[in-house]
Amino acid sequence: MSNYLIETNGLIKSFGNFKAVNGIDLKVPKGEIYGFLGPNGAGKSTTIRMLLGLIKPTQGMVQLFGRPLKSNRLDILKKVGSMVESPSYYGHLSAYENLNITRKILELPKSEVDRVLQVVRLTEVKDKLVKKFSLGMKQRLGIAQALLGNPELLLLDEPTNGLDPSGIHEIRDLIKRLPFETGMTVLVSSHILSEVELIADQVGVIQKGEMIFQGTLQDLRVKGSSTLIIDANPMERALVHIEQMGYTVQVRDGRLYIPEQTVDPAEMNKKLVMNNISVRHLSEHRDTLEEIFLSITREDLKR
Amino acid sequence: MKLVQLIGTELSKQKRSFLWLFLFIIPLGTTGAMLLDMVIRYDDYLFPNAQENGISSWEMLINENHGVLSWGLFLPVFVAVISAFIHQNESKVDNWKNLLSLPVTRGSVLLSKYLIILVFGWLLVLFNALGLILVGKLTGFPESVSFELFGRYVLFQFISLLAIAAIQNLLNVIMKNPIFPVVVAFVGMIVSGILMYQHQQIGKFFPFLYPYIAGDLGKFGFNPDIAISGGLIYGAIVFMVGLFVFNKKDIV
Repeated sequence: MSNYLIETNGLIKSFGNFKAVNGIDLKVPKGEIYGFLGPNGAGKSTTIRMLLGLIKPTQGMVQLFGRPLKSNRLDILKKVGSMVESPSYYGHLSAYENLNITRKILELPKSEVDRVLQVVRLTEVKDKLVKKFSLGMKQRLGIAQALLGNPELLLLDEPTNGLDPSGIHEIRDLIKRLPFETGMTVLVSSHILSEVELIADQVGVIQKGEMIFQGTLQDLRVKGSSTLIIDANPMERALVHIEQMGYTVQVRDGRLYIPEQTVDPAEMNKKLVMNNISVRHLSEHRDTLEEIFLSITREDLKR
Repeated sequence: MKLVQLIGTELSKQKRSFLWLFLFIIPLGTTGAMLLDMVIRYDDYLFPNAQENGISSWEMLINENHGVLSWGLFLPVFVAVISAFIHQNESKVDNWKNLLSLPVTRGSVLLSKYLIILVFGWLLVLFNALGLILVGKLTGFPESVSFELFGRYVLFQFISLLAIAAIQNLLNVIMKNPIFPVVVAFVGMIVSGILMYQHQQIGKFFPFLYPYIAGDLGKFGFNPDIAISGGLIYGAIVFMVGLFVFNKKDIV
């Protein structure tokens, strides 16, 4: 059996001539947090809806827990909690009543409602009508709903949307804890890399319906470039010398930039100094994950 | 199939809903209108007229309610409103995605909605009939209440609603705005009024006319059996169509 809890093969969803999702092979390992990244409208929510059977794929296959979703939907969904896009709620009911509706369908004990209310820290407002909730509270209610019954797989679509910084922090901590405390596998979608970077083990980057990267955060970092920045005296001699060493050099603002090449900064420093060139500044600039994410999504847009 | 749980949750969703108010206000209105009718016209016109036609005061009252007040014509619109109340819970903040992400079949979800529309529709019919009995009692009808007559009146309407509830359930699944199915029912009511007077043969196949036919005690010469068979046949076929459409539908 595969080690992936979620596995899709060539998943396609077309709406008329528009392909919202185009041949996605999603692979989410068991017990990990998977960050599903992509700009707004990239196809994240459509993919998640296909994972839940809300949308039927035009082509391709969805397997959850090693079984095809199409023929095992009910058994699979018993083990899945989800919050797709904005949280769903009945505004005229209280938080408790909302959760109780889901609890009844899942045939869980009443204590489960109190447990999830506590997890998302809504116990004190459990009797308040949800229409009077702030967006952040509604978001937390949506997460509580997804946590009912301690599912083995949690699908959260943009769970921190509309939350204030402390709320984001709280939800992030909660998501981070889940695989350790309950063995839960979590797929979190977001359009903000910095959010996913702090919690995910694996990431998938989707752009215009296509998966343009999938792997660990370390794999993603490798995709970034580094630039060596040198301030030397005399500049002209340093430039000639570095070019003679076979590197491409750019001169900007009185500094030398050696981009996209594997240069050992210590070795470079040594060579310059030994040639009587004084090195006043030498630093290496590595792309942040955010920059890598932006650059790969931009590259894909150009194609 | 989690039908029982789903029906239970449908009822829970109606907590603090205006649907309960609707359920009492409409029969209250019909009861009030019929009471007024009896106070003004019973002694001088309606009672002597009923005797002349060989019908009881209770039969006359049902005719007044069903034909003169047009309860039978309005009933599909009332059921459409009930259906809109039930479906708007899911469509208002896109709750369909949450409900259908749970381990439930779409068939059981659709059936639970259908049954709950029917239950509320039946309650409306029942409260209307109970209101009529109250009116008769307050007016002081000389005949005792004919439970057989009221039983038939209520039961036939119940069965005729099988078709209306299935149609409204289907329309609410297809249409995102819950108001449109109510508009369809309203148009259906107007068409029913035309068919009733001018094209009775076509009217036999028009489901929005069935609640009227179900309570037609001979005034327009319809056979209430049409409402029974039509309600059952349309109810089954339209529900199956709804199921097919709902199963195919993408929840986007």
